[in-house]
Amino acid sequence: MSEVEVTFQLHTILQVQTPNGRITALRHRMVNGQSIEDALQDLGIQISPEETLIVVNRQNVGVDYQPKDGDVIHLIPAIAGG
Amino acid sequence: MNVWRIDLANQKFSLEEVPAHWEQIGGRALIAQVLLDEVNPLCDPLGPYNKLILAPGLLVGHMLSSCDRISFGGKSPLTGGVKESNAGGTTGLKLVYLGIKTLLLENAPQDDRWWVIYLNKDGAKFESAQDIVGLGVYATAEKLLERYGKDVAIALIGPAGERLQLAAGIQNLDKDRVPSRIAARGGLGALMGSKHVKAIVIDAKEGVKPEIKDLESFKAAQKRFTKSLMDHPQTKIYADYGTNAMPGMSDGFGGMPTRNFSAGHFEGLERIRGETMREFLLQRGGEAQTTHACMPGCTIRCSNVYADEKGKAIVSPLEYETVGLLGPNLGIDDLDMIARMNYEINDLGLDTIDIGAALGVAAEAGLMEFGDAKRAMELIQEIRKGTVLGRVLGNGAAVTGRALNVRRVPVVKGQAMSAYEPRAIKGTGVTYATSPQGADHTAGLTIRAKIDHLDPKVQAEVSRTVQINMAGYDSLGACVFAGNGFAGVPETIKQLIEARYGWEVAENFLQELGKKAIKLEREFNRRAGFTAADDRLPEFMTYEPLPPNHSVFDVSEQDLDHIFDNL
Ligand code: SF4
Repeated sequence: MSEVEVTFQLHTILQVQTPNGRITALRHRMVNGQSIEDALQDLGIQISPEETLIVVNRQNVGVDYQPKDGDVIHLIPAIAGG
Repeated sequence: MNVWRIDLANQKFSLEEVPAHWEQIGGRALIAQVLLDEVNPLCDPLGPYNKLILAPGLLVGHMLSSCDRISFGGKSPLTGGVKESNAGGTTGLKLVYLGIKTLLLENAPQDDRWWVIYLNKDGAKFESAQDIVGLGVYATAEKLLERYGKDVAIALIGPAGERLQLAAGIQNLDKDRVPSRIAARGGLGALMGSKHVKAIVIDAKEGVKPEIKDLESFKAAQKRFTKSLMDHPQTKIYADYGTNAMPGMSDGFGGMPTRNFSAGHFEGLERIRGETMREFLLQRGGEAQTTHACMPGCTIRCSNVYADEKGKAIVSPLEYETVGLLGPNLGIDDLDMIARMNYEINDLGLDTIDIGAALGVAAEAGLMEFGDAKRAMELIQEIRKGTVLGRVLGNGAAVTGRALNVRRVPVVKGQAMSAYEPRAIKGTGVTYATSPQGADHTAGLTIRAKIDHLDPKVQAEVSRTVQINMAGYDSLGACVFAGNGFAGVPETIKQLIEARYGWEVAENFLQELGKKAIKLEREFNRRAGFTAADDRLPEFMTYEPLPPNHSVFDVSEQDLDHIFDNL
């Protein structure tokens, strides 16, 4: 089973404050063919798919997207503008 | 409620009943109707025949969360077309307490005198402004609060408005009496300056809260709306990060305007984004506040107070559009410097979006290096000094582009784009192109939509829907972010309006109002000489690929020309 390594880039309220600073990104190794949903479950990150934009290569994708090696996956709690 | 008219030629005040067809509209829609009824679309925007119109939205006056906005309008000195620009703060609420449906500043002064228009329950008085002419926005507000007491609301202009600069806005006091809530867009500060009105002071101490026909029903709807708003996940994000939660999202789509709209990704993003700003503010303490309400009763509190390393306030609020246009757009990644520039531009009474865009154009022309914040500040000081260069910059990006012979000028209808690149977020490009207001993010952003933002075919429909909704909210006096609450319980809009006024309105009252506003605005623009050619983005965006997506703006002309068919 081949593996891929991806980075989850966390935005706004998904960033977690720890004694060692703010966690803004998580590296993750996952089985090739697994979806973002699977990965989030492994990482224990809960998102509401309706209220979160998942952006890979500057494109919206769904939780069923299967990441490729090296993907940077932005998890952006949706906001309507500034 | 009544129509209040202020005649600047004769220093007269008069009060009239509201014409029947103005009754059931407010804010943005009412401004468009007044313009069509009373202002010659071909008039000189800075001449005697234009009018400055103040119109609170239909829901203003009840401290309903985030629903007390005031709309200013007139024929735009910047675009030459219809203009509505709205702001938070306390102006709207207090005007309604005086029973003002709309306030019209008419005709031209016959001499050099400048005025403070003082409004209270007995009407309007003309008081001399000679002692405050030339002062910056902050000093002006301080003097007026000393003179009139702490309970008044104030709408005022800075030196830029006095000098009729086309990027001048109108500032309003926030709930803490800071004159930071600016109706920034379209040069309405210059229109106010053309009337020689430095400030409008609204003393509603003896005013009365507007009558509510069915209090119980109003309260029930209010409760459901407030709960929906408080429960909405976006409300927490705006409270924690303010509108500066946006940079990561814009940049994530390759849509962060960078170095005068020549790229969509900014390498200094981490240093300017809201998450970093929040960390600064929490560390710095003192006067810094990560969350703050611009008007009484707002439960979202997207505003903030940005403070320096010693905890001393620099500016309030620091917002995404300003960060975008004075930051990445100028290649600048220093939030403290961006905040200081913001303060200066506010004090001059100018729109940070149009000035940020003008500075980007000036950088392109070689007047500053991108990234040189010190030089950017020097250019802002040129505006204060009133040098020839400063006078050019103070007129915004379109004039600056012409004066400096730059062709990459990010404007539509003469008004600068805000911090969403239309080649990466094409639906917002459709809004920029087709809004009767000129390029304006508040006219309808599409970045939240889960669509392929690069696919030209799906953008017009999304843009049309949000443009109609936004025009509706602007006519209700509701802040954009109150829309998150209404979206969950849309029926409360009808309930609130019916309970407040005793009317019977359609289920989709919001959309009806929005459509009406846009229809009237387009008609005014048509009579002012606008054609399909004005509903276009700058040409360079159709052939200059924007990195990192390497996309151009390619939504069809057909889609742009027919977006508002069957309104
Ligand atoms: S959400 Fe922000 S802009 Fe809107 S009313 Fe509240 S503080 Fe003002």
